Amino acid sequence: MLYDIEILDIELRKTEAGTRLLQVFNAHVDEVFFLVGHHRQVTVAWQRNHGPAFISSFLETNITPDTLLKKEINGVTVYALIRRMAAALQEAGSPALRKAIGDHIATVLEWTEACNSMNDVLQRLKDMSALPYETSLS
Amino acid sequence: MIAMLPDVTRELQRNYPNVRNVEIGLKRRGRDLTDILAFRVIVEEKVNDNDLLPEQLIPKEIKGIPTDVLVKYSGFATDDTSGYDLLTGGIQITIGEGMGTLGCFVTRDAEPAGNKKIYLLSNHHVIVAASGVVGTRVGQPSAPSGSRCCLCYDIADVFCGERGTPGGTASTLGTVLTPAGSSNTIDAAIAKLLGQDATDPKTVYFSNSIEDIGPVFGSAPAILPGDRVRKRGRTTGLTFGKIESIAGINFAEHDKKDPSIVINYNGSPILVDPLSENQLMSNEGDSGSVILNSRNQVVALLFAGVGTVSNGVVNGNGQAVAFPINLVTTRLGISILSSGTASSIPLSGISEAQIKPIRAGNYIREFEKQMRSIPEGEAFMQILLDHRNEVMDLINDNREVKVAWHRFNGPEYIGHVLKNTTDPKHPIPTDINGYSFQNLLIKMGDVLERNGSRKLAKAVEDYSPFAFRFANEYNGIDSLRTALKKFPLCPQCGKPIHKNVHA
Repeated sequence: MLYDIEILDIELRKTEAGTRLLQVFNAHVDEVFFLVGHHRQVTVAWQRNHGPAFISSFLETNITPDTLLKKEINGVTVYALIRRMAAALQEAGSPALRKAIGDHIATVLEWTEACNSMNDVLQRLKDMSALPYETSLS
Repeated sequence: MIAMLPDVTRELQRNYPNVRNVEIGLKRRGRDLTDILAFRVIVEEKVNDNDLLPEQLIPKEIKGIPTDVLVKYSGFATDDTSGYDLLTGGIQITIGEGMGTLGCFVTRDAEPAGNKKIYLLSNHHVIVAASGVVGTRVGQPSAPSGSRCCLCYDIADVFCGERGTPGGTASTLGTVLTPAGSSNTIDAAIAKLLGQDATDPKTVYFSNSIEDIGPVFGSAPAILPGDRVRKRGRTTGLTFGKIESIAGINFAEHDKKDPSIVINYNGSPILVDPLSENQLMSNEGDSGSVILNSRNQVVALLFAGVGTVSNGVVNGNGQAVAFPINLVTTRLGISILSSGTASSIPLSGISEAQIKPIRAGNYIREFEKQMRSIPEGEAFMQILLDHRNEVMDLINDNREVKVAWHRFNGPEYIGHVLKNTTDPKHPIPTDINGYSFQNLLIKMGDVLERNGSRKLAKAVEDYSPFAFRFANEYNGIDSLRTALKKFPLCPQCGKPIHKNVHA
């Protein structure tokens, strides 16, 4: 699994928008992992909405060719997962995390709608110079 | 003169078959009123003196008092079509069946001092109309929704009322002092302002004044022909008049939709003639407004206009017909609120700054107007209206939703959005206290989905992507219109495109 994420990391750094995405990701990943692991509300939202299964499905699209991202698992859509996690994280997280969520949720939902694999996401990143909708780079 | 009136009427009706009734009022010369008090003899048809035999001529004076022969006039009930804002007298109200005017504010005499509630006074045919009952909700300016949220139009619940019937016996509603079987006398009703009970979450603010006129100083003890008066109604606004006649008027109110339905008010109404400042004293929609004297005391409750019926069509002549306020207060058991005297209530129920929730109505209507000016906006408004009541009820009554709404600064954002609608230069802040508009939408989507109905949850699922994207691009009403145009309408339901396909 780590290998897959490293590949993704390298691919992302090849584009300007990807680099910025990694910046945002790295700035908040520790806090998000901490909250998912230790904050009851966030943990419940993550588990109840099949977060681990959706992440596996997303990474799987890069390992097995022609595999598509699952948009629904056990009646929970990936959009619902994103919305509910965003709500839980912004409630429990720091002001910086809250701002990042506000800035990027529209993009994440838009990409979730349009993309069916990790490659689709990378392709999108290559086509744009910056992440949309950011109110500032801080 | 009033004591003489019944005998004079009987005498004239016996001797002159053409006489319908006799009033006490001012003598007319053509269209102008004189200052001469007279017995006004109302006839079916006016005939030239030369065409009548001497014994058919009505005497020029009776018992030393001059007479004036006038042709019978008919009336029509008035209703309303447009909108007003501040909760004072003279503004538009409705229960969803036509429109009318809020007269003024009153208290009930039966309630103990210190625990008196505030009621609004208007006409029975305005706030009860055909289908109203005790508890029917009154809206201002538009139809009530049944909700108690701060943005809905609901302001009061009907408490009691009385109106004449075609059969001649007054019809009453709720607790009134009118004896059973009374003849038609008044057309009036009161409604209790919302928010006066401990369990009622809504606060309705009022000012004991009449728009364009000023504070109300109770009711006048008497009214006399020739008194200069004024009223403020939602259609003709502020108009001035002169009391033309105060006693003995037999007024036939023709139903506006079906003039063949007639309600007779014999003896109780007064007649008000417009002064030169305005052509009409009242018109459709002014029903329910109160008529005040120069001391801002209420003297009468307006309920109809005067006109002629021709081929089933009523044509107003500008005069107004009203009930003396003492008749209304006596029958309903109420007192007009008085301001500005020791121990009376303050002039205004609240400070100017607190009136904002009511004033938001202007912004909301402007927002609606602008949205409805584009096809996509029409669909967008419909989505909002589909769920408005449920969302507002959740915000009012559900703790989780209420806390989320206030913690993420919902009222502030709504305020900025609405203000921007009327003033495009008004900036929309990127964040308030560290919470962005997107944060608000994310949180509200989450709590509404969890606490609302399945229909609301589906709407959250369907329109969240649109809402988040809109929030990112939003910097004013124009950007919302632009954003809406980017979202094609669903060919099946006509709403902005959504993820869930139709079954």
